[in-house]
Amino acid sequence: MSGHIVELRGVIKDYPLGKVSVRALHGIDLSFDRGEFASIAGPSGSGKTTLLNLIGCVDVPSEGTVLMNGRSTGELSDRELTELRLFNLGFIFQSFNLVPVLTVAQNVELPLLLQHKMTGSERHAQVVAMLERVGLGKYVNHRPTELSGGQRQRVAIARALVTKPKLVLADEPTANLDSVTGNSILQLMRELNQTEGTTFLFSTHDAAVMKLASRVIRVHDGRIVDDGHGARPSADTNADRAAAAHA
Amino acid sequence: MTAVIKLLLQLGVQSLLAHRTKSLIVGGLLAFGTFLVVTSLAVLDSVTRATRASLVESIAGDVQIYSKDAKDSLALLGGIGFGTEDIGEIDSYGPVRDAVLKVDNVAGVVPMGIANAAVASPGDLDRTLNALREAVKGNDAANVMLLADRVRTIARVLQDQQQKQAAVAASENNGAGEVLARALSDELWAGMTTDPLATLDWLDTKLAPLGEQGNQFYLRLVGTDLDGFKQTFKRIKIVDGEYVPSGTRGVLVGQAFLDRRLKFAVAMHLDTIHNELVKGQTIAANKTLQDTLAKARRASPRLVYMLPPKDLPVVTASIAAELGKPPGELAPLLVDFLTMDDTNFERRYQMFYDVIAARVQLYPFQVGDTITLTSFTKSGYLRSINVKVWGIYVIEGLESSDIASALSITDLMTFRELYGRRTAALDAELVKMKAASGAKEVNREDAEAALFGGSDAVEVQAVAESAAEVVLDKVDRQESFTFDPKDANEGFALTTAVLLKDPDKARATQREISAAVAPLGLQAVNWQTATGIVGQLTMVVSGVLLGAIFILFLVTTVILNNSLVMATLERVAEIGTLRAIGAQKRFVNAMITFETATLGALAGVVGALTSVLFITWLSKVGIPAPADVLQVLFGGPRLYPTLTASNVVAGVVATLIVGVFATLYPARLAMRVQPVVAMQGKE
Repeated sequence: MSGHIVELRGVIKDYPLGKVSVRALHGIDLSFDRGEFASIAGPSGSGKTTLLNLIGCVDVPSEGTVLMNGRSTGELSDRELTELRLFNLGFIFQSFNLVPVLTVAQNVELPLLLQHKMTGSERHAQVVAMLERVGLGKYVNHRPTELSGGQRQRVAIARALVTKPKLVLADEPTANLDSVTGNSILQLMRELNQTEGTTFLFSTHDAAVMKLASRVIRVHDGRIVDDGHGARPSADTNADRAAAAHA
Repeated sequence: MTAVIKLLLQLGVQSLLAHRTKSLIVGGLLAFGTFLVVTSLAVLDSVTRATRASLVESIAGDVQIYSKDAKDSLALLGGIGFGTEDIGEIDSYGPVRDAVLKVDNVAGVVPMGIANAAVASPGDLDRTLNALREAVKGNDAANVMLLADRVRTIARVLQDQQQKQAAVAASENNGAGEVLARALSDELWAGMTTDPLATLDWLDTKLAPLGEQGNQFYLRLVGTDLDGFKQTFKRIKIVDGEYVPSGTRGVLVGQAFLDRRLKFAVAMHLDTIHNELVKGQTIAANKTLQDTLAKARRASPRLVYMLPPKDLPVVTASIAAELGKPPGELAPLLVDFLTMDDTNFERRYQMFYDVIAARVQLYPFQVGDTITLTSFTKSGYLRSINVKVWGIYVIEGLESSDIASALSITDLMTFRELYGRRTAALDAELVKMKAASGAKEVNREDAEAALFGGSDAVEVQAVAESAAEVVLDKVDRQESFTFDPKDANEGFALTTAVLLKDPDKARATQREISAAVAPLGLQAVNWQTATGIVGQLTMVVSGVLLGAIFILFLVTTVILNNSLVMATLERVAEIGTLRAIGAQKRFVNAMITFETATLGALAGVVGALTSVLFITWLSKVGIPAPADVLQVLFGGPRLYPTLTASNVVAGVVATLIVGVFATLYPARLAMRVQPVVAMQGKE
């Protein structure tokens, strides 16, 4: 099989809307390789979240194939898909999505526990190291509610990376943060990308994010309109906004 | 794995803490449910044990055996409706006893028969006239005077009643007025000295029919092997007289039954008031007690002629002194005396017993009296027998319950006679009667010849025996007052009572006994069934209580289910996130179930502990039995419930089941949450 981490071939996604179905993606061909720091850009309703869902194995295509680890996600059961996510993917959400009743350390430990691969002390060491890495070594026993937005997103990053996944998906990771904090979060991810070699894929509106990305995939009306390697200036952002307003 | 369980537990506990109010309400509901289950199971078990003790150990036995052909079901203490039930027969008790004694868990076996008998006691006027006749016969002039006075008193009471009747209904008096007027005239009583017998005859024929009917009351009798009964049923205690000696006929009557049903009305009413006052009631505030007091006053005229004539002055003086009035007519003084209030009741109650009741017969019979039992036999003719009242019994712990002592106990021979069963004594009597009347066994085939046909011997014999008529009177009925004790352990009975060593194994033992007696055409039932309404009450109470608990749990399940669905919907984003980062559906299921299970376990423990404390407190103070039926169910005036480990386990398990059951639907909902929702989640 190919050396890509994830590969999309002729992917079509339809959503039922009452009696008709709406096509969210029209035949997408796309692949990602190890170490990429890529961004999917596009206005609301362009299909970027759908694309991210398919890549993140939380949804399966209507037609075409998504190959993750060389396996076609459309042919997997719910249980196998879940396992695939657990061992290969990390998620960073727009609203952080931490479990409020668990401590910072427990939130980060959660995927390791679900993996059943490590002993308690191994897990603990891994969690502490990861939290140090994101700069939250002092907050091990805090609850998410005791942290600021930026700190929470750092916890989420630690949770996404603690299993050393092949690909980390970040759905508008800075949307709920002010620009300074958002920037520091992006810097952190970039740093992790460069030092650990973790592959990142964002969906975003944010020009600052796109500026940092090594590759920007532009989606419009369910189609890839541009797949450019390297950062682009903000002119397109205005176009995106106009499209969003139009939508 | 333990780390996952720890995590689930923590997720559960933390989530419960995070939704404190919801957890408190749902947990409180579950705790209350557990409390109710544990408490009611404990009380029910205690009631069953207490009822068992009061019925089983006093008279019923754990298991009753009777005929499979019975038309009615056995109801030892009486069922619904009146009359004698047809519960079939046990022709020969011996084989039943032998079969039952082979069963392991059996402690004792006793034969039993049930009969309802009427007992008549003469009315006051009849009694007085009899005494007067005796006094006249014995030339006891002083007593004649006193008794004649008493007849006049009764006549005055009757006249009073008759006038009141005439006032409300213009009924024809059939000349009663004239008779009463004459009975009160001095002219008649002057005749007492000149021609006492003629006067007595007039009183007997004219006045006596106007007197009240004699007292008749009914005894529900259980005939049994009295020796075996005494050894088996140990809660029966004799409080007056003695136990019927072995091989002797006799009857034992329950004390509470006597006190509540047969005692002289004035005393009975005063007892009732006394008991209520002890419980804290007051006459002033209680209309029923005032009515009871009025009833006592209305019944008081009888006292005047129940008191021995020679004691009248003493009694009158005492009562007048209490009232602060000059001695005079006793009847109005008594009415005044019985017009009591809360301040003087206890003193006068005591005085009533010391001064009046001590001098009259409070019951229709006394220990040592021979009473005449009259009963319809199985074949429908009336049968009367004289039986001595040997003693008054109480059932230990149930001294004041008249239901528990409603049964009078007699020997098996007396029962058999009342039932119309032939006994050796009856057979002997019959032989003598046959011999006396010259009756003779005649086969159907020979009947014609015997009646009409020609053997000389028949005629000769008939002539020869006709002179022997006198012999009839000399049939010795005395011999039937005793019998061979062995007879009571063999032969005819209606049922067999079986007492068990270990009542906890009752079900299994009942099955064994059923199997053992089935070949004899008999069936075995448990005591609840056998005692009729009273025993079945425990089953009804259990049913109602368990039904109520079931409904409560149903409601709890619905409420719990609702609140868990709400909670699950609130947590959709969290669940979606967990699913997205790699949690399987079963983890989500376990998470939701664990949460309720944790709450259920906590609530269960709290509820059970509260129940333990509550029952411990109850076991010290007891639950009072306000009604008589409850005394039987409670095994005494108070129930002291106790708790068993199984009650607690059952309560906690029931709560956990309800909790988990209520989680089924919300957990299903949670498992349906798609990981994709995490992507849309807003915190």
